[in-house]
Amino acid sequence: MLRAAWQLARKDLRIFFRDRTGMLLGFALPIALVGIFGFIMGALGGKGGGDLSPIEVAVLDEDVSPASATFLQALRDSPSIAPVFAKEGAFTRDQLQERVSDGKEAFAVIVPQGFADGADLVLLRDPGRSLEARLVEFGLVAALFKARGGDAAWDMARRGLAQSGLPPEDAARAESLMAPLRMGLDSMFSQAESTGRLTEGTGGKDDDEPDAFGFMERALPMQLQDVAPAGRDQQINYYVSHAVSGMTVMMLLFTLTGAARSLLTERDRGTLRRLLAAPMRPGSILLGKFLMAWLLGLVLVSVLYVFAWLVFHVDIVSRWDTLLVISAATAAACTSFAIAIAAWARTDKQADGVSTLIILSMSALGGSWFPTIAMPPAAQTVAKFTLTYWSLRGYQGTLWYGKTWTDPDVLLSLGVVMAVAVALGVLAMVLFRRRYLAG
Amino acid sequence: MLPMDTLLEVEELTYRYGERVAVDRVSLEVHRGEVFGLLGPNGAGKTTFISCLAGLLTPASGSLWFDGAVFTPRTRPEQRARLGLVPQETAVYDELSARENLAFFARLLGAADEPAAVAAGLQLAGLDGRADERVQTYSGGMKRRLNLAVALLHRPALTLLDEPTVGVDPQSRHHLFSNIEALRREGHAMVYTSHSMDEVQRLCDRVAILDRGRLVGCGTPDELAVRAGVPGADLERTFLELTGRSLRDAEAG
Repeated sequence: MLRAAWQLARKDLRIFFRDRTGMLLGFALPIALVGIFGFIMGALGGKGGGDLSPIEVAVLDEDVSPASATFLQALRDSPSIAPVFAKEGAFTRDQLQERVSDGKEAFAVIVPQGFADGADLVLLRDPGRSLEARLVEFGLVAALFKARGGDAAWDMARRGLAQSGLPPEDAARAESLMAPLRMGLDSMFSQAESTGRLTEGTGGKDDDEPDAFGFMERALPMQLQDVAPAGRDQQINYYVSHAVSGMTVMMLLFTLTGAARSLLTERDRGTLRRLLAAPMRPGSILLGKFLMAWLLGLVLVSVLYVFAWLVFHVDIVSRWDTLLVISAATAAACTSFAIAIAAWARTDKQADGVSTLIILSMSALGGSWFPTIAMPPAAQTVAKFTLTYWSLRGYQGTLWYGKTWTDPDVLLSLGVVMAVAVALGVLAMVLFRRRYLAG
Repeated sequence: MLPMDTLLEVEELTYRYGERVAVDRVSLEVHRGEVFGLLGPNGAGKTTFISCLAGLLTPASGSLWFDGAVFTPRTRPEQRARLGLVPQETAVYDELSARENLAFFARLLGAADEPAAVAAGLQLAGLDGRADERVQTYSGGMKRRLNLAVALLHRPALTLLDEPTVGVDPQSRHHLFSNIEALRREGHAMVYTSHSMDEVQRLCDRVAILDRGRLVGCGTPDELAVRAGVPGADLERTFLELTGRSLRDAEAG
């Protein structure tokens, strides 16, 4: 029995290795996925591929004081925040509010007048992007500490005590107790420093007690303002609409690649020869396959977004026309991709291998699985060369930021997606002619 | 100027797969209302030659005239509509019924009266009784009959039949032959390839024999027998005399 089983296995291995392109693609896929995930996850851990990309935060300095300048320098030096200043002059508060509402900025910080005397920073944030908001808040606090030195810690402690729920008289007493403590600590540090006994320390331990976390958050020396476009459904967040669009684009690529493979089926069953001999132009065959897959894609997108609307309250009604235009363009690009693969492949195994490799790589890098913000800078640059990235940018533009298809940002995404559709369509035609109209 | 009864003229046609010459300077004519046989051992270049005739492959050199006009893969659809192809495979859609297959191809091939063409196709294939069943439930013979019926939907002037009787039972073969003979009586021209010498002897007016891509003989079966030096011999013996007895498909390409 074992002998027969081995003979069968040997035969199958021989067949497997005979299609060299298909075999290589079979190995290339896991290697590519391990590489991409290692790169991205390594960055999340701070190793193996570089650090996370700093998050862009628009900045308005109303104080224009030495203290605010020191703070802005600390922001520039921050590893987690990339401050963005207006090219000419400064943003006004209203402009910043509009930019955040419009999705041009996810975060904006205002250094208010009186900052030098202890006035709070104002952070405008997109309420749906809570993950990045945490990073920004801590980045700002770190910059504040760097700019204000030890004063910031005492300010936070005082602020925390005032809001901690203690009776006011007890809070005042606690604050009065802090003064000698601070003086004592300052003296100890000075002595240790002057005698050369001060070390770098071993760092603190994260305290994840809910009360302590709440205490710290209340103590943050900044006001948090959520800015969202009017009418956005507050039941969803940025990540839900991103995940829905991300999975939709990925499934569109997989489903349409499967559908376009009917070209290979036509070839294998002989009907393609009959179609090629029929009184029509060869381009009609590809156009027919394109139409079939494109319509199937539109149906798939519609079903998925209706599901997301019913289950996750993703708003597909308000700007249905923009959603339709983006979906039509995305389905066209995915269809062209699928037909190019079908026209290129000699075997099903080759079509499977190359399409899975490209789709999964493009989905991982382009943001289908997690937002590109969670990727290292190099990966974010690569993302811009994927269809997935531009399609998701268009979808998020309308689903999250409420833009219409005439908005320049959505138009840019649409333009790139359509250009991909046309380029891949032309490539599909060239490959088809070379493969089936040779000579 | 071509003679009036010549429908297809092939002159010095050559086709290469890379360095390998599959069809080597073949010249022949097919007349109107004629069933023209194309014979050859395996790998002789018959299917490649048929593909060139059907406009599926562009020859490396040589020329092809169909009804007085040059015929290439870029030939206009109106002219291509006068040609029919019965591929070696049963090139129909298993998931559709015979009626649906015929209707689809009738529209694609530009049949003048689609319902009439479908009805005629069903009758020709002998599938009236099972017209609405999926093709995947049909026997091999039924599929072969449908394969032929599809190619004739638009009443082409010339039909290319590439081994149309492979794997069919005697009844289906008889049915196919009856149809081919009826079409000849109606004036249709056909190019018929097969490995069955009996079929070719029975159906074809003239025969061309290809071997290693070259034309080694062309004429009526009697003319070929004389040329092979075996006057009065049957087609099989003539064929073996002209092409030899060694296996062709085992030779290195």
